[in-house]
Amino acid sequence: MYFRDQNNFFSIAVSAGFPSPAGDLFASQLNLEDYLVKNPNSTIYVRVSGDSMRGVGIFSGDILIVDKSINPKNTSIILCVLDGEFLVKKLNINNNSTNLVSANKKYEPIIVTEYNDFRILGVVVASIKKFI
Amino acid sequence: MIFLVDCNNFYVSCERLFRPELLLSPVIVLSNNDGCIISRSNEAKQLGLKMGEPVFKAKEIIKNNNVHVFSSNFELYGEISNRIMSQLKIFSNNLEVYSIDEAFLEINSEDYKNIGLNIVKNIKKTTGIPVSVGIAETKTLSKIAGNIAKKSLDNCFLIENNWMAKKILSCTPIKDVWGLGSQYSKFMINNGISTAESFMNMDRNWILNKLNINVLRTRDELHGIKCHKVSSCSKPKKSIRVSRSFRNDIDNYQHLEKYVSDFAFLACKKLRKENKRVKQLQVFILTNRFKQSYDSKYFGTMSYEFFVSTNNYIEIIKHSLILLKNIFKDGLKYKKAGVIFNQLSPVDEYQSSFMMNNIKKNNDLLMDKIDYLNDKFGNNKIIFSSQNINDKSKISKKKLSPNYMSSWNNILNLDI
Repeated sequence: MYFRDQNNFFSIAVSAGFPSPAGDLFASQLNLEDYLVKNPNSTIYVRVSGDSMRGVGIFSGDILIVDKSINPKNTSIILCVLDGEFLVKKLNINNNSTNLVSANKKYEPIIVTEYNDFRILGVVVASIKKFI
Repeated sequence: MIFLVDCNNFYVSCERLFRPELLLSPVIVLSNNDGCIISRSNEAKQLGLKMGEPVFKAKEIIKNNNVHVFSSNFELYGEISNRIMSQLKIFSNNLEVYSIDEAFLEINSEDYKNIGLNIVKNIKKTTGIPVSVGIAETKTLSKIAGNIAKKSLDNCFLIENNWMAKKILSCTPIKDVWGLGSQYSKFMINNGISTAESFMNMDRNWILNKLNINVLRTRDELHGIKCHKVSSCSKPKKSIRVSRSFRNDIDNYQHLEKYVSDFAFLACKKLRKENKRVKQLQVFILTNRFKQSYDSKYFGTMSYEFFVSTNNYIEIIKHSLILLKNIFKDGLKYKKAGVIFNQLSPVDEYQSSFMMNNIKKNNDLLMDKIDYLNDKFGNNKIIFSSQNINDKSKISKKKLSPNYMSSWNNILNLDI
């Protein structure tokens, strides 16, 4: 309820009905960030385009959640930099060779050599796709 | 032991996070309004670009060497800084955020060097920003250790004991000692004291007589005696300052009035966000020191003390303009102006005057409504008629990077 007080400013009146029976129960609300982000200090978001990772369910327009503090394992999906360019690929290490594998047969695996500038920036934790 | 964690070329490092192709290229970041160089990559330093140098003076070097130039994106740097500081807390809860890119930590353990190396590794990995760590018995010594760490390969340096400190201080110029300032360094050099070691051996009474207690504390800290504690509670801001250099010089009073209104408004907004009131208001104007002949150099400043501390937009803008009127000189070309608030106090802790209570209340309500509407409908929807804020031409940020970390529209787009 609003009314004008003597100085012509609006004030808000507090209602004084029967208090809600749930008033002192504090259930915590579900929070998506709690579910998706373990380490907020080291988590970044990137939007991707292209079809090279569609095999694992990453499509154009999706937003990836990348955690830099997680150590990548073999077959982790990683965000990395190869010669100054960002890439999202599946990490594949065997017999001392490092390969970056796409999830789409159209693309050949990239073999990382000692002549490349290669840095792993983080592990892709989740992908967000919105329908509307 | 005290650890000084200092981000390497912080602003440049932040920009590079999102532009990996710039890893080995010369990169610089400019101050507000694209005026001066405020951060340089190592490659840019090697080209001879100087800290604080006006960018027009460096035009040639920038063009000939393909230096990448960024306008400052303080929103981005602030967010990355928050992450670094919060990540540092896993090493110690006793952490003092000293500036946007520096923090002191107190850690009592063994194997300090290893902890330092871990900090460098952890921060680089989790945030992507390279840091250096200087470790020593006191803050002043850790600053000196930090300078050495910056130049060492592993970005970490430990001053283990007094003997080692002495060796290092004997080749540290007095001007590199933290907390002395250029005035005192000059005074000491004039008195034949050129290294930190010779300063350390000065007579304590002589320092007290000729200089002051703070200089004495600095001397004691070099001896490994702790005088400055690591204080984890952040110091409340003592002043608020909003100032800008104009892209084109201003000689018209009406123009200047608009800018000063804007600055006063912005400063007041900051003040209100921090729940503070201001007691002393200061306004300054400055002519262009690079362009003008000697006799037209002018720095005008004046301050006003409110009877009762205030956080009222109207009152603050009104008095800023009165001050401006007093310091304005006709016929000069002004390059810079600013508004500074001193003597801040929390909103609920101010000396009140009994006569003003009623008027105040109404005004407070009006001020709250202004903040509410501006927050809800976007900044600067409600402004004062003396202001200028919608004139976008005023701040020049031609090379601004997107706000990668604070808006979904601006997050990094990757073609994978």
